[in-house]
Amino acid sequence: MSAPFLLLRMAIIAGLLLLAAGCGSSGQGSASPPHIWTLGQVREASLFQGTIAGFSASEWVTPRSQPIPQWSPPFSETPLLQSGEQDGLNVLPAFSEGRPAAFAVAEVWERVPEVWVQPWYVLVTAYEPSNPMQYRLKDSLPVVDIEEASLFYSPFWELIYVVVPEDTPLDRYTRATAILSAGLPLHRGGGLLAPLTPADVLPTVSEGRTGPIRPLTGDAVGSARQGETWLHGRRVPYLSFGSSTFTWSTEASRAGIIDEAALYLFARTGSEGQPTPLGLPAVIGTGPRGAGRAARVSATGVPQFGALSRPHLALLPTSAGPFVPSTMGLLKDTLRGEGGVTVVEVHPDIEARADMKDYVLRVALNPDCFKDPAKFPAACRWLDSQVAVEANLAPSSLLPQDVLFTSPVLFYDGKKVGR
Amino acid sequence: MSARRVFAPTLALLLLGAAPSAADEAQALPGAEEPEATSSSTPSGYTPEAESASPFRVSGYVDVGFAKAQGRGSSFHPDDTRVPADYGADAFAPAVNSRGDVASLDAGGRFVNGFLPRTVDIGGHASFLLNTASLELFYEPSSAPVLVFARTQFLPRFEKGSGGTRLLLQQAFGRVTPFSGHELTVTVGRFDSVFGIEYLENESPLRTGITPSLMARYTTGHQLGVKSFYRRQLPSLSSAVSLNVAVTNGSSRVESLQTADLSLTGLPFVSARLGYELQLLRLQLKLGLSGQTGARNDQNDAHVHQTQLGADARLTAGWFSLAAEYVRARDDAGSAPGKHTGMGDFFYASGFAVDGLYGTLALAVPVPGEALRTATVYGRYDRRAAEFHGFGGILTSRYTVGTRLDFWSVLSLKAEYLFNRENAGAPRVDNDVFAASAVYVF
Repeated sequence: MSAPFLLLRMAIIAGLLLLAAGCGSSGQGSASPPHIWTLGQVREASLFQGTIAGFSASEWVTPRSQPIPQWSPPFSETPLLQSGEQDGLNVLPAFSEGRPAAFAVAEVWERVPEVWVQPWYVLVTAYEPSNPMQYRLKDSLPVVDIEEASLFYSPFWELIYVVVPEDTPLDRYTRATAILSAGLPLHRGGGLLAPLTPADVLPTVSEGRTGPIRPLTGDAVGSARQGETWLHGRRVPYLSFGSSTFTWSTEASRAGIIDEAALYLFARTGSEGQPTPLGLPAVIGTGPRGAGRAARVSATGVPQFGALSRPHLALLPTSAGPFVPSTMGLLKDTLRGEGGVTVVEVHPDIEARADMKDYVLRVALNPDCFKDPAKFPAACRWLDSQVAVEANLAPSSLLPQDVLFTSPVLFYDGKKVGR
Repeated sequence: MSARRVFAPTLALLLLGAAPSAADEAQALPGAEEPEATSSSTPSGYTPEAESASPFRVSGYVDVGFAKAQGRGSSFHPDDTRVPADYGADAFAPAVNSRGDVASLDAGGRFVNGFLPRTVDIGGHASFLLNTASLELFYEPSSAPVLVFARTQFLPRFEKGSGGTRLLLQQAFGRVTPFSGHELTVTVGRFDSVFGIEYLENESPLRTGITPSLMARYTTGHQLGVKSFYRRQLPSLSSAVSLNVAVTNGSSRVESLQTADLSLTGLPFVSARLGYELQLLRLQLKLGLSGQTGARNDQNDAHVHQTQLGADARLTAGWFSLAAEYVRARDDAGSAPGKHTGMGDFFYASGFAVDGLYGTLALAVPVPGEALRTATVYGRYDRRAAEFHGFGGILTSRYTVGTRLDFWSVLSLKAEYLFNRENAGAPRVDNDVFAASAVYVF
């Protein structure tokens, strides 16, 4: 063999060896993939005291016959137990637009930056725009097409009314493609918040009560309606929190993306410098952080924000503090022991006010105002709305989390929301 | 060897004043990287016949098309509001040319997630198209067993929805045949895939019909890296066995799905095809098994894998030829949002599974005329079952019938009709296509 060929051979062999040596694994490690924690999975995590994205799942779901965290020490002297009939989706006290509110966390979107609206088909025998459900095909189930296993699953549905003949068999349309292929008349009809869930989870109802109530105030809050829908030919359960509770973008570049709202969770700086939630009522925003969006409310008073929320840990200055009445001595002791906030004694005249319950655990930048009945509540600088939080806390104190919550609002502006 | 195989080499060599040999014909379009078997031990790689021949050659082709698709020219149902739109329909179905470009990608403003072909954006309108103007440059010195090849393609497109006109350096590589007396080549650069057989028909002069199969998107992309081909003749068995192995940036998927231009993960993709050939006087049989695995090159995590397997068969007997291929692919889901393809940046690389096959039967009748040399009729059946994780699977199929006339070894006239069918999971939509093409080679 000639010398040039020999050299060429050696070069090829050397090149292949170098290539093999250089093709090691990428420097980028494998992170946990984006994941949608369905209500079923949240419940499972709660059963085993697990955490999701750093949050304790038991804060969101209470297994049947177990103590409800928001009705247990240190918030109350004796715990209330969740009904033994079903597991409970915890009702979480909050404030929004300066008034008491309540919500629940039904699903968690971990490392999923956006959520899209998906179609929810309802079979009707005639379409009446003023009351689209009037001619619903009797006993028919709705039809959806996206499973929870997909990152494009969504509990945010756009109602689409499908006009079918009156004698349509109930199992004729069990898949979206069958509806579309049939060329039936379709009419769009607004949004529906309905996570696909286990059939035995509903907003928390404590033993001896008939409906869910807001912790701290005892106000009746909205619940949800259970139902079944077709999904790829299977009947699956869902939990409906009602219609018109969210909006989505119609901009060309963001078409179908659900509008999210900031959710501020008050926190303190922990002993090792890490932000630590205080467990105080959250503040439900009306739009994304910094959007300055006015609250959108439907004609019937249903808030059209907050159902998809992005939690932010809001670090409080140590001078700020919550309104803790004297009846919550255990909570006072706990907060004082943990530190990070100021806990003052509320003046008895303020505690005697008829509207006192509306202020329980509401946070003020100047809690000394709780001592002065003459100036209460006007003199208090409350952190009870998105505008107030963003105006009074430094941007560096508002720490966005890489998660989204499916967070149906159950109580807003003094009224229950939903069923 | 079919008439279409000799268009470009014949003309190129005629221009050079040299007569084509069997080996020349096999190698004259390096895009077809699997050399045809020869009964001799002639080394793979084109070797000029005469010392006087220039080491430089230029060839190419012009593909002028005409197409008319049904409906809006896309597979997206106008009333379907599910998103991503490209998960619930096969956007690749209404192809209009040999590149696999489709008539339209109009999803009605719905969100799509990057499972898309290129488009000529004609919608449902009939239109002439300048599909491709391809220019090929060869350099093959007589002093070294080296071939340097580059193929540049001009793709004129209307700006509105197609992304505009592109100038594409589709292939650029150097190929070395290091051992005389052995069919071993080592190629470095950007080249055809080694997976399956359909990549052999990537260029329109080489493709019997016009449009690629429904599985072509997984096997006919170009890859950047290094590959080696080895074939051993077994004369006593009238057979040969071959192995084609590539280490590349990405998989054999087309560039609209995954880029070949760089590795997004740092981990190479390994592809291989093991082939067997039976060469008899009146019958040729070629069988192959292909596989590839590596990190998905449409996202950034080296631990997110993609694996693909395939089997192929070709049978040529007299005027008849039959080609069939089966492909099975599985993609892991990405570990973070972000998906990057030749079409842009998208939301997320979903987990994905696909199984599919196609079979083509052709009858090529030689015509003893001055102008018309060959008349071919062909039919193809495609079937594809695919599912993005959690979205519900779709099953589609296609029947293709067509004819091809070859004139003077420089012109091919083709016409075909695609009957696209949504069998399950995807809404039925009018997306059949009539396509015609005139391909001139030089």
